[in-house]
Amino acid sequence: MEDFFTYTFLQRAFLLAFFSGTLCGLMGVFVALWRISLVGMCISHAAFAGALGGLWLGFSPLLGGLGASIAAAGFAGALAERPGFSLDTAMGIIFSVVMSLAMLALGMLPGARTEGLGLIWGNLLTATWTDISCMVVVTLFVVLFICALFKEIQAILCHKRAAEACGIPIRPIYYSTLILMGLVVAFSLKAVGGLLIYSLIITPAATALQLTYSLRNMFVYAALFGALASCLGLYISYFLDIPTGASIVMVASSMLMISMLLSKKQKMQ
Amino acid sequence: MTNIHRSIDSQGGDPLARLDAMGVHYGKRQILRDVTLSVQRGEFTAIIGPNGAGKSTLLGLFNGMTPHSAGQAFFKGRPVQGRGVHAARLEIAHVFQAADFDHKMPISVLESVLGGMYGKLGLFHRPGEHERQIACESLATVGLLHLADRPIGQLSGGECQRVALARALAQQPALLLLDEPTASLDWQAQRAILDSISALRRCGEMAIIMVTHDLNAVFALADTVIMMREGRIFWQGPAPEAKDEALLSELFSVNISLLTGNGRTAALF
Repeated sequence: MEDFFTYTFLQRAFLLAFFSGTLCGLMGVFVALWRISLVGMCISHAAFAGALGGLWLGFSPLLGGLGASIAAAGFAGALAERPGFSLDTAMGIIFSVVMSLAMLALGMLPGARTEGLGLIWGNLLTATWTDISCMVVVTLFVVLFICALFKEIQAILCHKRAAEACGIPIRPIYYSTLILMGLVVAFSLKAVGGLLIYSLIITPAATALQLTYSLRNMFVYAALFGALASCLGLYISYFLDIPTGASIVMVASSMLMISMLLSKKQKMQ
Repeated sequence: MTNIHRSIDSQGGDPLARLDAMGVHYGKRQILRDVTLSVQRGEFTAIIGPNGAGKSTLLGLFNGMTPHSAGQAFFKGRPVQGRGVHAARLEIAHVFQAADFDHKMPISVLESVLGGMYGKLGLFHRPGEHERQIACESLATVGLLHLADRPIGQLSGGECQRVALARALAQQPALLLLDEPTASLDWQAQRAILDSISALRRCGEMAIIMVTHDLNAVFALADTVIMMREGRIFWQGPAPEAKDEALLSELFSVNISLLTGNGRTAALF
């Protein structure tokens, strides 16, 4: 462990993993309880496609990821709200389209495509202090959003239409959440990569859901499990010399399986 | 089709809520046309009619939950549009048809009931002891105070519907909209819900509008009956005059007989 922290690049990687895991865990609570997993998946993969598109067209992958994820949040969110609309089919088509665009952008990249491949699998070891500073700002923003609107979030999670009918402004909160998810995904691409980031969003939240009947605790547990999976996954990948993103997701999935075995909720089902 | 349309505006006084020549389109399909009615303070109105008549759609016109294409809704003399929608929603509670909750949902019964007050409480204000007391009183009214700390996902369908009713009461509304509150519930649960509604009926100035298929509940509770058929008001008038076999048979296109005993009227078909 001491060796691990003697390298500055590993310290940066560790911090980026910590904040990515925390943020993805927090956003996963919305995805799991709002039942917008398909919307979440489309937003996260749109960010991936946007980042690759940015690389291809010669501008910042972060900006590309941000633009694409926010556009996807607006588009997929609006589709999800339409009554009687087949969301499964629409999200399936959008998912295929954004993945095709991602592969197209990857195929068109000149040279060795190292940076492009890094966006697929994640590359924590190239984390910079700028990346970490951005993550800290986004983390503060997301935590502030959840704390300030906790009671509204709780009411919407419980019964969306009843919340709307009693005067809670659900549309601004819903779209702010989707845009925040786009931000989180775009900033976390470097940590986990576009193919696996969705797993880091949904798995810690699903793990937390097995263990508590309190929404407040669920946010805390999901953030902790996300951070733990990311940091432990990074540590394991360093010592076993395996891809970091895959390692993080395997740790997160193992935590979910253990929580399902220990969960009183599962036994009550 | 015979269209018997009788005004009940002669009851006097400014109506609490009024729909004026309202129409609703979903795409090219006309769901409601030329709906005009008014509701007085403290009045219990039942809306009945066959499936697809537009009853639930009509209910949503009062608080702007149903987008309309013609006419205008008014609440306390103010149009329900623009900022008027939010103002109306703060004073109109809406109980929707029974919803299924994930049994792992990390929200308690009390937290769910508190949600009814969050629109009035406004953004960034936390519920205090006063709000908790109102929520507990609402739960006591529907006979579920002993389940206040239980996770909402662990309740039966009937209990969930009574919690929805408690959430609406906690809002302390001037108008309560009930959308088939006893649909898909067993006899015992239906009885419990109707007893709770009956208790509300006897106290306060609150007006109630209930969409239902339960004619026996209509005869027991309502002051006024509105009959809907094919998107139009087919008949409206005082509840005693709605106890008409020919009228009800024509409304539902099925022979209906009425039996009276022990001061109660029951419908047979």
